[in-house]
Amino acid sequence: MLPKFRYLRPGSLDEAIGLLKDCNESTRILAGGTDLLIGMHEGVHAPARLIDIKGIAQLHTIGFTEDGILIIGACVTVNELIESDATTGPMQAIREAASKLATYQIRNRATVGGNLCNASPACDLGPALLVLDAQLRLVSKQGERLISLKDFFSGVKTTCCEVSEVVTEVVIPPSPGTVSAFLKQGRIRGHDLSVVNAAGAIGHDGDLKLALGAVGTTPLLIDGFDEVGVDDRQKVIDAVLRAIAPIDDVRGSGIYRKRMAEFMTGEILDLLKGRLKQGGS
Amino acid sequence: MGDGAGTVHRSIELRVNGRTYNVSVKDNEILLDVLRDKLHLTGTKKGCELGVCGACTVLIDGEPVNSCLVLASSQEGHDITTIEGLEQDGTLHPIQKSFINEGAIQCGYCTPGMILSARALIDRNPDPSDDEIKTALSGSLCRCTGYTAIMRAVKNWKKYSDETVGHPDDLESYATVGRSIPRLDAADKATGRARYTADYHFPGMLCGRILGSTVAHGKIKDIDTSKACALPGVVCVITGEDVPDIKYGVSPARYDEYVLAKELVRYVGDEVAAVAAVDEETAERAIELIEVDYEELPAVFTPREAIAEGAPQLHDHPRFKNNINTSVEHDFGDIERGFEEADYIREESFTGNHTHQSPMEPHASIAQWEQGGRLILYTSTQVPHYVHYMLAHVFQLPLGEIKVMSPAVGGGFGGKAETTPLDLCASILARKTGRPVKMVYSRKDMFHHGRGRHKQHMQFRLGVKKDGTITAFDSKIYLDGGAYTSFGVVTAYYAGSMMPTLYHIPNYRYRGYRVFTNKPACGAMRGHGVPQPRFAFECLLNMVADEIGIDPVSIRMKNAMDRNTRTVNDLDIRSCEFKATLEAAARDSGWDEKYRNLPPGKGIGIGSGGFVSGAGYAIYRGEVRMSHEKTQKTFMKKAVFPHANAVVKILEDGMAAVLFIGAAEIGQGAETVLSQMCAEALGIPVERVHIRCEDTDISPIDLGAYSSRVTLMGGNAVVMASGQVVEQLLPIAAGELGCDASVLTVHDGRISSKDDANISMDWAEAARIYFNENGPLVGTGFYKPPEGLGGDYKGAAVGTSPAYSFGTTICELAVDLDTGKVTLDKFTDSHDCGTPINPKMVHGQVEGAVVMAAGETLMEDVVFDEKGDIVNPNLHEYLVMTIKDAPEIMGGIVDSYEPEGPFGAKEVGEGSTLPVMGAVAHAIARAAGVWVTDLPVTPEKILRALKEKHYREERGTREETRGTWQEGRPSKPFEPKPVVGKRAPDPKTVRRGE
Repeated sequence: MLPKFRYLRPGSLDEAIGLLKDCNESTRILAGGTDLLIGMHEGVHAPARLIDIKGIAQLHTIGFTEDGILIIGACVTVNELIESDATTGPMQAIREAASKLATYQIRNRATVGGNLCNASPACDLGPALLVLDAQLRLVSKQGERLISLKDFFSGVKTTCCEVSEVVTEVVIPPSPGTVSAFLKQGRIRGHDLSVVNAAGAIGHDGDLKLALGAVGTTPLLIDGFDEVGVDDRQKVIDAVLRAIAPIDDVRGSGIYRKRMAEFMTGEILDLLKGRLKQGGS
Repeated sequence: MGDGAGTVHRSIELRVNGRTYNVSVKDNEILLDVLRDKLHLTGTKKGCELGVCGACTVLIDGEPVNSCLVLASSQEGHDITTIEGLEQDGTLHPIQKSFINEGAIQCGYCTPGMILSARALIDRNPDPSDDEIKTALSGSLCRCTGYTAIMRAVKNWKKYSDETVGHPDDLESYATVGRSIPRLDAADKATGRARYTADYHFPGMLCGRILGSTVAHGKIKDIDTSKACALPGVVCVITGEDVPDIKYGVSPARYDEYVLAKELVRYVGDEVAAVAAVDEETAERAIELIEVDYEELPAVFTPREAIAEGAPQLHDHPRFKNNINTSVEHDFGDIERGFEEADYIREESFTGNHTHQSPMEPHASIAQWEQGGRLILYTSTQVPHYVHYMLAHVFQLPLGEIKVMSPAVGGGFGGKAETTPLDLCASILARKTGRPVKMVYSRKDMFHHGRGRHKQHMQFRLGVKKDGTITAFDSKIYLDGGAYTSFGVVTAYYAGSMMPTLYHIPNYRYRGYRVFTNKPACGAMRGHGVPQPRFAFECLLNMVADEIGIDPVSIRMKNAMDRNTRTVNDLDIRSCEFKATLEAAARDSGWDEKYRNLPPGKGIGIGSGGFVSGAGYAIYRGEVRMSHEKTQKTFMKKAVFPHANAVVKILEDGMAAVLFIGAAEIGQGAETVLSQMCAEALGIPVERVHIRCEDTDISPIDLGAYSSRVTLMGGNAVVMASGQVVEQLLPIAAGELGCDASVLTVHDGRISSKDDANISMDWAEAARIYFNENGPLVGTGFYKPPEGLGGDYKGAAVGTSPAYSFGTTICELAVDLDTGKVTLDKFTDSHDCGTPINPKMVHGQVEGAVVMAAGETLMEDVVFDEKGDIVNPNLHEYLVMTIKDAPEIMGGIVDSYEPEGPFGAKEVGEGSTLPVMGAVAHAIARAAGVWVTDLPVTPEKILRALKEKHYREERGTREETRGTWQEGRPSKPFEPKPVVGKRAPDPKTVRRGE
């Protein structure tokens, strides 16, 4: 049973940001609804207004610009990510994360924007996009801004997105020669939130980036490895263990999570090395 | 925002199954509710409302989505397909046919969602791989089938036209029995036609909700319902003051629950108040507006806390001193002597988990009172008769003033084996309002209501000779009972009584204590009380076998039960092909080659088990009548009334038989196997048998679907009733054919002479003649368990049964030694269920049992916080195995014949659960090199055990063998007692169908 709210379905982005202009905290943007409606059902959220942006066509596109920038519309569904040709090669981690996210039915509704805005510490797309230097475009009546995903997450289930703003797209800079990978550890093989998830990327310049989920208040980007590369396994693992602060919950203890973070970091490094050897996948 | 948000209705156009509906919806209405409540497309099911179970799956523009997570308002302009839309011009889609014919449907609650997901998959990919099928269907949970048949149905979808496929295990000896016909209700379930309780709608119907306590233990100081009553749309609010001063429950000696709390609440969720309102949303709001002032009392959450000196007492009664609800002290043989005779003694403690049945269909009830004061209750139950009996008890009405209706039931597994607060509150609210009242549990309510498996804390000691012969077994168990008795007395007895049924145990001691704690009451769940002790025993036996150097299969063969044995605790085992199941499972799995030869990380393990085929005695004592009118009578070792009853009426044109029987179809297939037996005994095709189970007015009583009793007990009643019809029919045919009735036999719709095939007539013609001359052709039958079952000690009734099943499972799996994660590869199962009435359905039961029990071993656990509230009352965090986790299952049925069973049949559904947990734990121990004796065996526990082992090895302290060798006293050769009553034949000598 959902609490009462007023449902609005703008047909264009302009209309949407117009509606958002004078809004306060009691307005929420609805995309796929697979997190928001659950939260409302469970009494976590009780917005007075829902603005459904799924009817806005421009938010559904995915593809590269002429400059090789990958643009993923906020309302692109997770299954569309998996099916898109864009999430191959350097973008492999996105596809891998998407295909581990929830169930087939959920993936048909859940959107990229929704997954990020829900800002769960265990969100699967977060780490994959973090290692690819993803940015988000936030649009409001006042204008628009590009913000790096790393700065977008501000805490457990919170972001720096203002009430009047809508996330319209994910922007990923060109990354020729990059290899990326994503791994997820759930309790079972079927659907489950991540106990720990991890993504990694190595740029054409050998720059290593890692990101882990469910080990802190937000998905964590761990970079700045400078001279440290994939072969300095222990140094990388040490850096990861310094960066994370996992908690105990029903899915696993902090101790187990640490151990998994350590193990999965190693696995990610191996995967990346393998992909580098293949000359990028 | 105060702009009347959400109260505004908007008119939208929904395109569903090619038809356009103009429907008025509120902004906050989800598509699922609109489909079900406004378009009456109730084939789309509500199971969790959180997008986890997949029962609500529909296709939107051809793609499967969870309709519980879609706002109806957002769906204008989309094409929606529900299960009702798959059938075209009366022809089923091939995927529907495939589900029906492959046995992929049991309770049917997940079926619409599964079929729609499968349909979308084959539309985009007609030849999906196994992995693709699993990915496509992993968003739909099934609790019955173990996914094996579902996989098969999707893989083979192209093969199906209208052809019915049999099974390699089908018997040739009978016309209908032993044949794998599709379930009789499968087509209804595959098309969304099958109606479950919540699918019913009556004019003027109200919706009810129950308010549960927010504290684990407390005194109700005050309840203020004024705000709730003032809410527009609320019709009635009741509290403890409005319910009878009569306690109810399951075990008559321990009725300890009020319909709503009168003064004390004893767990988070204990029922405090209930509301009836014009719709669900209003009822929900009203519940939130009821203000309860509690004086919180100290609470206890584990048996250890509960029995401690000075602990708060849950039930202030001298009988329940130290919060002990039931204690069992059983001694058989000479336990001291038994351990003196042992050469090797091994002790180990095990801890079970708090698992929950979680059937896909939530409990639901609809009550209404007819003019003149007769109660009609529709309920999702396994036990229509016990609900009937309990309503009579609480409302002090004769049974004739109550009618219980049982629509289709979406699984039970013991969770629907008792009268629920929904049944009782709906009845009270309906009486007060004069309107029908529907009440449905949310998934969260189901967990809070509880009645799941008791978590057992087990301390076991086993003594064996050098050759593995068991000399003594000592068991001490604390059962975490929760706040009320429910089935608990029986559970505590079962946890002990079933242990000596599988192996010859000459000396046995059992101490069982069921302890009250401030948590939801635990009840009966598949294998009632036995799976955790069986898990522990099988693990211990495997430990002992490894430690004394005997193969685990051999140690079982050495001690295995034989047919026609009375156990040490006086249970009569008739048919028993346990050894054959051991041999078959070992052979088919390649046990001998694999057991000691698998690489690290790979493991193979074995477990055995079995169960009763119906309880020997009814749950309540005495006759069928209101409990308060009965006088106390001493317990006699015989059934007071028949446990199963049947009436067979032949249609006046002779072309069909209607079988009236109160048995409960909960997805296990009762209607199908009972109809098969009816057809066989009548000698007509099964298509001509129509079964009516759903109405206590028209069908004679049957005690219900619990203790695996329906096939044996219901079957016997059906065979007797059908036999009576044939007895009346043969003289008619004999007159027509001019021969003696004694030479005639019925088969496939004909009555023929055994001596001369040319002397034959149409069965229907004979039936018509009978009717013309004598009026209705009716047969009645009943079944009472044999007299004298069980011993003469206190509690001897629990565990008695006309027959017992046996089985062995061998599990192969992999453990990832870095993460602790377990991948189940394969189960090889062999089961002695007597004559299989429908082999494919037997396999379906086994497959479902394997997956459920493997899930219990690996992942299922209700977790409580420090205040006694449930941390994971949903299917997100209470993990139920998905199709991706399910193993490959190779099932086998051994030849066996049960003399107490109809056509030699006995049970399968619960017995097949029992071998699994021990086999999984054993395989993990073999793969990882460490035993985890605390359920569930999670990756984290495996890693912890590995770490401890590693630490020990680093410090050079090898794991000490936990057993003790000694010079055992010589023992007398053990001679089991002979069985009392009918004896089972060697199955090789049985000539079925003659």
